[in-house]
Amino acid sequence: MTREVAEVLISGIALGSIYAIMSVGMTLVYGVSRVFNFAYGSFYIWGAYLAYLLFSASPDMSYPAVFAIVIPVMFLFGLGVEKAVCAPLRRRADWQMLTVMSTLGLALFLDNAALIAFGPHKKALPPLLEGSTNIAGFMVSTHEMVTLAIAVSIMVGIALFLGRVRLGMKMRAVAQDGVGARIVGIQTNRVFGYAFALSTALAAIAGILLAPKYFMYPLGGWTILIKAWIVVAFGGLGSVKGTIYSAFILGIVEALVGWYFGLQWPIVFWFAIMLATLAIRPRGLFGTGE
Amino acid sequence: MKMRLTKKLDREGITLLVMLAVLLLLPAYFHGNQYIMHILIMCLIYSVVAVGWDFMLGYAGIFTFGQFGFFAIGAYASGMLTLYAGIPVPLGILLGGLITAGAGVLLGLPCLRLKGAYIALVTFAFHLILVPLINSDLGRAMGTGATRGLLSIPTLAVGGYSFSVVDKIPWYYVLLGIAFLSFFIIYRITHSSIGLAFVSLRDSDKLAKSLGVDEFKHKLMVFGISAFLTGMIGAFYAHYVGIVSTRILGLDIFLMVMVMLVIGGMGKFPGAAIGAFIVTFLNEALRPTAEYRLFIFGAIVVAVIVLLPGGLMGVLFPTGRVGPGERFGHFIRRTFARKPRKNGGKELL
Amino acid sequence: MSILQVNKVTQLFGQLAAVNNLSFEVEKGEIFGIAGPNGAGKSTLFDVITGFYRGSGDIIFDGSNIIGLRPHQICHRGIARTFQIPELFLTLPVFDNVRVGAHFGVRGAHDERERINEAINFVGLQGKENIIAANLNLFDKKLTLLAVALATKPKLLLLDEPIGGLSPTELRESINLIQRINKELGLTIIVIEHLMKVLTEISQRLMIIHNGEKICISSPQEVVKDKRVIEIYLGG
Repeated sequence: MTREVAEVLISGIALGSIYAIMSVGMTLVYGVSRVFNFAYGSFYIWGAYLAYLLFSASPDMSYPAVFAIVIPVMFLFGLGVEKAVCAPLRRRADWQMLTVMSTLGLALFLDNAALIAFGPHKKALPPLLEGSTNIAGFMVSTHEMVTLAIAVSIMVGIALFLGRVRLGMKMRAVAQDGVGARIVGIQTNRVFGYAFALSTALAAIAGILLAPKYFMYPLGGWTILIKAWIVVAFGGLGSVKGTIYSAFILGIVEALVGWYFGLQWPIVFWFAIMLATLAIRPRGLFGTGE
Repeated sequence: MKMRLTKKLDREGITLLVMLAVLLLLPAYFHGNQYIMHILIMCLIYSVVAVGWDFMLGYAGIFTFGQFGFFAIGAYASGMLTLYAGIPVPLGILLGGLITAGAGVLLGLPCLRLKGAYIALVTFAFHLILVPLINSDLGRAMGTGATRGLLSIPTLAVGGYSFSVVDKIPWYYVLLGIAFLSFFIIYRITHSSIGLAFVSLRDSDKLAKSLGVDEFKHKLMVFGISAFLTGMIGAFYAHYVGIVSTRILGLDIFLMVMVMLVIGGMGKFPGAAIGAFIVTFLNEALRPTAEYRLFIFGAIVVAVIVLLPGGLMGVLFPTGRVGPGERFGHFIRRTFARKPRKNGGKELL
Repeated sequence: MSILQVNKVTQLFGQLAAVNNLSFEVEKGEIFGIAGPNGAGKSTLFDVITGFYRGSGDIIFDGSNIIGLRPHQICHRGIARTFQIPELFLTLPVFDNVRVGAHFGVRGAHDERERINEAINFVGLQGKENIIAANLNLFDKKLTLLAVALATKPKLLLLDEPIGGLSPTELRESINLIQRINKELGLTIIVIEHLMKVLTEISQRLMIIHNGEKICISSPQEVVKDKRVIEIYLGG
């Protein structure tokens, strides 16, 4: 029994790492530009679908090659979307609401584009690496281990980016004080664009990493959006640290609850935990002031 | 003060009166066409949902996604009360509205201390949780009919006269009356000091609070009023269609009503109502495109928001900041309504 | 006679004490100045007094303890404030902005219209009632904010850096206005400013705050000569 529990825990940690990748993008974009991107789930799904396209076109392609193509494409796509759909609205007083609606419209557009292009049936991606590995006596799927490793590297990468790289530090500055950042000469519009693009790329990566386990279908992005939303709200909107903690906690909760109670219960537990937390801390675990 | 109000009366009041006039006359042309009459009735129903949603979202500035939760509660409540407890339908509808109002206030309570995106999350969670709840064993025990849905809901009957599903005209006029009653209620609220409180909390809640506006009381009022109207129209829907299932909580209808708000003009009453008519008909017109329909809808939404952020109302009654589409409209208007210029007698014709 | 007593008030943000065990009194009818380096906790103090944050300690206003009350209740007791960065109801015209204060700031009164016009005329915005707040220039925005606060018929007015970003003429007008509010309307005023020249001109007493703590409280002439104050502003 404990053996099983341990395996579930490891699975939960791996799951948590994926949620971390998936949600960090959302918290980043929100923290920097206060934009709530409703098309986030659609970006996630399209990352997976793009990979699917590449694999269909050349079945022998390796995952690194797939990532090397999808990531820049999605990054540029995110830049374009931000420029076309978010930036023009920022001048208005009600821009936040309008951006929510426009990204919702975009989600509608992208989801149905996927439906038209790929059909409603679930598709799968091959796992990153086949088989299982033996870690400290436990058999875990190699794919999960690899995704965990990738996720951790990305987390470290982002931490370094925000801490050391100029653009990352600019993002932090804008997140803290948009007006002040502009005063010291930071071009906030560009920073918004890059933050959005980065979050798009992260969503796509998460999509590719999760697809082998959970399959893809055009409306699959909505569960992801809601999950990422909960992870971010629980951890604290705009707090990268909070999101990472939250992602791992909720990932483990999902693995345990899903194993013990059944697959439709994790989301209920998630909601319950989140509502309870918000009642005590209205800004989430590590939420910063607006 | 009176000056400002009169200006607003012109914009919103005129729009409502024009709408009413048109809608009163429509059956004269379409009474023979069951299909169109049904579409118009659905337009009226959705227009109340849309206006109720816009009242919370665009006008009071509360990021809510629970509108269809209210719709469903009103529909199920009235359906179940009339079906199982034998309550007369008009009373059932009223009770449905009141029960939903209660649910709305309950939903509002946890939202009082939350900001923007968190309220969106909680209200959306409310919407999502209703589906498994209705379909669960608990729901089945309460009589929701679970996945099968609530069937054979009694039709509207007033003083012995029973509304038939075949004769759409009476339904149309009753719903027209209810819809405009709802619009009138909202109209009066937006022109009252309560409306001023809502707007002040929307524009700057910090300043509003420091000036004596009770944030919690007013937020709960918004939830309650919006929930009541939406729940009531949900009840009407139940008795009109005769069947209620969790389909009304589906994502597609949700997104469609959202589009109504956008196209009509968020926060610009009664734009959402006009949007309801436009979108419902657009939806029907696009049905032949099958799977391309929602794809086109999505594109339209994005285009409308970016080019015409004020929606239709923003085009008809422009105020202050304008988007590129509205600027174009201005340009057209100026071009075709040019007065002779006084520059050296040269006139541009 | 003191109208406001702040007793050992502390406001923590996590580990940071924005206001640290602060105590002072304000006399009825005076203009009381508060100054200090940026980030010293001045605006936070206003936020605590007006109920936006709940600090520990006591705040006695007009005889009763208002700590723990919500902002709108504190407004009804008779405290009004302005904000450092002018917050206004940007979609509404000046008249309606003031109307919010007039209607909600005073309970059960029937002279709303008079109070609105009074406030607008007093600050000198007559003729601009119908301009949408978003279209006002900075000075007019500040005047509107003032009118809005005055319409609530307060006894105590908290001004948070009222003269930042103004031209010399506007500055002079503002100073006159503040003094008129104090003399003609009989309001007690607490002003936060970091332009010492202005504070020394208008305040009867001045308090310097640094890191949320009271450094010195005295007449402006005394304060300016105080060694600690000089050190804070010039040294360390």
